Amino acid sequence: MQPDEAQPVFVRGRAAVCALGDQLDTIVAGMRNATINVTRIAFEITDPEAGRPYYLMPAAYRDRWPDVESRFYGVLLETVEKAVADSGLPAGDLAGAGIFLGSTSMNIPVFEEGYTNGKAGVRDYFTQTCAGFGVIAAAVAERFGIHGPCCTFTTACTSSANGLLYAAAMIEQGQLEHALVIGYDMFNLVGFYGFESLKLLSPTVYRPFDKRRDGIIMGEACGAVILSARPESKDDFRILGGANACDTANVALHDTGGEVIAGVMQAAMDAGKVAPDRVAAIKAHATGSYHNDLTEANALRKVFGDRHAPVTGLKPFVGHTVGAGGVVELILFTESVRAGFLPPTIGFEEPDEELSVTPLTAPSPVGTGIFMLNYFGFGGNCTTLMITNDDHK
Amino acid sequence: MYVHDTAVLLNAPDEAQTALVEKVRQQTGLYFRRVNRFILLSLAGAHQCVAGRTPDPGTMVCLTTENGSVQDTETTLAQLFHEQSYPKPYNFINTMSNTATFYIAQSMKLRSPNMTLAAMQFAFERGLELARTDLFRGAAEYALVGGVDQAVLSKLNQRRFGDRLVDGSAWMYLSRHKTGASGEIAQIRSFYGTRSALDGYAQMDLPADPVLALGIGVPGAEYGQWQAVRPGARAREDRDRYGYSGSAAACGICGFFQGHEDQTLVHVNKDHLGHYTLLTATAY
Repeated sequence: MQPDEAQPVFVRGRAAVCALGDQLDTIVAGMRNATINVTRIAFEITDPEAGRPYYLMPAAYRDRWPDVESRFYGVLLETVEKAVADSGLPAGDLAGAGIFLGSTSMNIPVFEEGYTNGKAGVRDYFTQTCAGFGVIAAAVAERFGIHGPCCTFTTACTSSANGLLYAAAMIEQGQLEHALVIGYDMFNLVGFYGFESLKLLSPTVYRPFDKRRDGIIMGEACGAVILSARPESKDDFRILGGANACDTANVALHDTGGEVIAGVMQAAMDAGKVAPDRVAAIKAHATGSYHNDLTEANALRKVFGDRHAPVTGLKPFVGHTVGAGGVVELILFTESVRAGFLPPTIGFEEPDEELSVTPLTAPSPVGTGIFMLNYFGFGGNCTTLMITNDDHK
Repeated sequence: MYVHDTAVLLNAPDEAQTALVEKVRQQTGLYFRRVNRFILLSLAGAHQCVAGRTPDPGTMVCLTTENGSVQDTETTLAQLFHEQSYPKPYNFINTMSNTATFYIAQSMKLRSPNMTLAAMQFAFERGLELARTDLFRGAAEYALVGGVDQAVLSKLNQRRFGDRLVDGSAWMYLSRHKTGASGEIAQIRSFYGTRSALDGYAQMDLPADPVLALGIGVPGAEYGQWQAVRPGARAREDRDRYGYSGSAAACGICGFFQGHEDQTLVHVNKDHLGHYTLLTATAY
């Protein structure tokens, strides 16, 4: 198949669980009503007096499972089951599908439970028991009888965005007809304490692009989508294309000039055959850290000049869900648009003159259009996806 | 998808990390601080693969692994649970395995797609599929695909594999362009169930005497079935040659291109769920 004969790629099944709930209508209502469910978690191991806010899944949901391991797999398999049901695909149609899972923390919460439960006496418990990152996706394959190629992406905060990028590309090229793409990161101590060690966690409230922004607030979430060469309904979103590149400025920081990120945005638009003036809105990565927001703002200016489409950041609703964010934020964004609004960047109040970005501060009506989704992460990883709900694109 | 260069680096698990640091310094002229054994293995293998050439700046890098940075994950957990301290920043950052591909891109001055992925038994084959996808859609002109795993010195592994446990780092430099290539990856096909995989093997258009390599996941009880499909196939034993690491398949596939001119490889691997991946490659 030549590139100009590419198959279209539709998002035809979706499900998510995050701090706003485990049902899409509840999640969308929470976004419309600017709901924030944040819990303060203490650093019990190192400094019980200190703590940081965190976006946990609702207690009534996460407490359904008696231990971490059963919760880890229970949340994952239940979310996938909902996405499969939502896709409307007959049983068996997914047998040849690919599985693309993206995560930063993988199953580290399960190992942490082992350490917490006294197995820490074994100094190298992780080394003694690890069976590879691939076990998580393999559990999904086994449970749902999916026998296509199975990839687990570990590119930090772009992990599941890269799962979307490659699943879409393989469908577009006719290598696959369907793909299950999962983004999953559950609360874990390595991540929570690790980001604190980097002084990246906000002690206050989430406010990306705000002059007073003071860091990220982490969140746990699981999202799953079924991508397909065949749509289920005419309002299914299409993935038009995307791009990825590595910014080699620093392992933990992107070049604040934004040159590489701008290049990725432009390459994604080129892949989707989209001119900048046709972009109806931009879902920014918008982590709320000083450097990341500055970098993204500079990149937006390079690509769009001083006039760009409305920008919003979704992390204040669900937290920074790291590797899960690719799929989870795709679902939050597309479900909001399906409900008729662009979600605002809640928490934003005071513009920063160093940035040229003032994100949406209230829900904004929206119909059809082409949208840009940005994701960036440690290791210089940068991914941009272009999507549309416009039949005529 | 054409193969332009390959490298296989095997390292004894007990070899001092300083030796790897020195090897990478000699290859790159760079001294890497705050990196771990997994990153050093990745750098050493990748640079060995492209030695003598300047990689195209648009070369996609895809690192495949079973376990990633085991060492820093263990260290970070120990800092938390044994020392009751916050993880040290670089130990934490290096738990994210894509730091290895970052340093490869940085040291080779690449600004291109940069992936790190895992898959039970099939990580290298899946990485080759992603590379093929990027080469086909024009996201990259070249791809550098590697399989890297430290020896995981668990009691179970030591019982099963003993002194055959190695650190493995195997790499392949690929292109859409045939000129100058030393071989090609022809097919990567997935099957479910032994019968289906054997039938797929039987139907492949291959020379009368391909080289058949059965990967770590294929149990010895199946060897006879695979041999029976094509009696003319010559068995290739990679386990003695390359030892055992999570990236044994990468070592075997890349190693085939070193001294097998005019031969075709069929590499078979299997996971615990009964999935098979068959890869065919020809060395010119």
